[in-house]
Amino acid sequence: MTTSATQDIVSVLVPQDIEVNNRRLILTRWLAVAALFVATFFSVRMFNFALNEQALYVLGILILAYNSLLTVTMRQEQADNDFVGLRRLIVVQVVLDWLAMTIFLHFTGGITSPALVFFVLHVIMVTILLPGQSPYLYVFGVLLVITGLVVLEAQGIFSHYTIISGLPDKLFTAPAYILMHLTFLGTSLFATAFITASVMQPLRQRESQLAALFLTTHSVSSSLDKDTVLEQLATHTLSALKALGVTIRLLDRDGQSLRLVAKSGHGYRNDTTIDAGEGTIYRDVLNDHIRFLEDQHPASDVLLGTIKQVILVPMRGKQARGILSIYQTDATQPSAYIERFLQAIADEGAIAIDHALTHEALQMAEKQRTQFVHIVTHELRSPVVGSQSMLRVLLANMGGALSDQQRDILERLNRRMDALLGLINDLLSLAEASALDTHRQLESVALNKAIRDAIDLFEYSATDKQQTLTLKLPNETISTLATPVGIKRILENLIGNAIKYTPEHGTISVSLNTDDNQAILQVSDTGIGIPEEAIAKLGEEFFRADNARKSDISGTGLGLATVKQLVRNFGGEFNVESTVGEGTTIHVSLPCYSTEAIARVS
Amino acid sequence: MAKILIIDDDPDIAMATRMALESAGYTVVEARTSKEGLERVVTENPDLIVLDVMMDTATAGFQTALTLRSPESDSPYKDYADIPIIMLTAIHETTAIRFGPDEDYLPVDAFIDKPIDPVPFLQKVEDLLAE
Repeated sequence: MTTSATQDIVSVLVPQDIEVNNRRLILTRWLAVAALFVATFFSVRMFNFALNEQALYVLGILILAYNSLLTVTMRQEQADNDFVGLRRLIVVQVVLDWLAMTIFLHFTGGITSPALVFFVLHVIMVTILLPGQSPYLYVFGVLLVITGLVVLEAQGIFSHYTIISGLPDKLFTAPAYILMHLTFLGTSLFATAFITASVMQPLRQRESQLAALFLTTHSVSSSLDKDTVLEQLATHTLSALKALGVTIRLLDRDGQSLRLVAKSGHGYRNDTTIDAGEGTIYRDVLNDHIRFLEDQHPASDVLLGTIKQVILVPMRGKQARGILSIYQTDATQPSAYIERFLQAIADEGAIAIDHALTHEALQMAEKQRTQFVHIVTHELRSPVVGSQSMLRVLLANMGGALSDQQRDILERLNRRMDALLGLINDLLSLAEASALDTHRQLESVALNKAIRDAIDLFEYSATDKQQTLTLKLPNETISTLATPVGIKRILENLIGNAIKYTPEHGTISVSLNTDDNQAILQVSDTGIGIPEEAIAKLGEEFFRADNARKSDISGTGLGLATVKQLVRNFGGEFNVESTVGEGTTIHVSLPCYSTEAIARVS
Repeated sequence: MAKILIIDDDPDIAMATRMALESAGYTVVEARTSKEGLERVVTENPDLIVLDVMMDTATAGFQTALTLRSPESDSPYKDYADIPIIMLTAIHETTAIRFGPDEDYLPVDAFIDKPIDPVPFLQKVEDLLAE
């Protein structure tokens, strides 16, 4: 997997809450402004608070304005998938709210305002939204600005609004009162930030660990290639755990030494194999114990340079037994939770490696099987083809005149050889068709030309049987996604069968059409036909209908099996209409393929 | 009468081909390997070549045809590049070559599938010699 694909997965996991948080902040603000308008209106009219109504409404309108602007920006950034922008937007919102609240504080009485408490709420929100130390920085800023405001009010540089009647006139200038309020406010704000952070931090850590686990699992299970799986497991474990180095070692067949099979980052022990005999720490790990090795450990020769800790995690696959080693510059505190977490990553990795190893073995077996079939059939075919060539020359009287009996014997031999060659060729076709599934790349194949070529090939046989072979092709070229060899094989089998099972003077018609983006190939004959009960079984290997078997016509029952397999490989369909004694029509439909269609899709 | 060179490592096929050609009155020379075949082309200067596609390797015949038809100006076979070639093939061996993307550049003039059917084979020989 490429780096960008990895980022995609991370982005899918993380920004969802950035989006949710942005949306939630904006919604809260709409409600807050509504409350501001309503509360101001009623406070003045029902409780006679001495509020600067005008100023508060202006503030409300300002907040409405910037909230609308934020809404538009957020939609835009969401549409652009601009996660950095969305993250920045949260900071912008925090700063704007901070300013708005400070102004609100000023108009509701400065140091005597009951709105001071609202800053506690805001600190909770900020601590949830912003990572690391930034909430403390924010609290410090809040205190600085409020102190500035109340000092300026006390000095008379800013005007002061006393909104609660009954409070002493000069209360807002009393240093003790100001100091007391600011001290309590400061303490509450820092404590709030601290408590919220201590709740949030483990949550965030779990979240990132979950993301790491998901990422590792996803990446290793996205491939069946052993080397890719190993490499991805190493790289993703490295980035997920923010480690300096990661290695994967698998136990050799001797069960004694660990071989380095994948590595990522740096700072790791680089020996190709290490001894994991009885008594070594590695044996201990292989026996299912996670080990956290630090400086003072006797086996600390594994620690190089800046590495402070190595975590050795057993990999407990069926075939993939070994150790996942994580080299860190900061020591992780061992705990049952972290052990389970690391073990989960190692287990997922081991399963993926097991799958890859099994896949590799399967592929090897399949390759050997195909090779075997190929060699055997080729070796079988050479003598058959040689004998047949000589027989045919004799039958053509090119070796001298033959007596009737000699001719009869040679003709029988020739027929036997024909049948044998047919069987060998059909076996080869079937082996090829089955191999197509996994091995060949599909390409665009022009059906018109393929059909014309196939007809050329059979013209001689049809003429020989005095049959009429008609061909109807459309003017435009119709292509399908297939392999040229596969299409040739389909045509050879269908046209070959039609000629074979049609008596002399019969008619074979081949046509090509399109219907609803499907290429329809039709091969009709006036042959012996296929009994209804046999149609369903056509395409089973070695199946031949009764009337075909009882006829003198040789065949193996492999041809249609090959056609069926190939048509299925190319995403098409195959069906048969037939009346015994009248003839057969075989329809093959294959999806049309055109470069324009591909362009439209992408 | 025209002289025809058969390059084929299978003695049975070579014999059948020879009998067919000789019955039609052609003079026949044979070679068992690609290398011997190329030498014979120079010493015998045949009017037509019958070439087996698969000899010591799966595409030896194909390579031989490419060598004979090489467009290089210093090719030692440039005087023989116009000799028509019939390639003997077996189904499943050569379909990739015959139906590959480069079929316009195939260095042979005709394909005949083995086993050899003498009548159409002789017809093909006659057609090519007439061209």
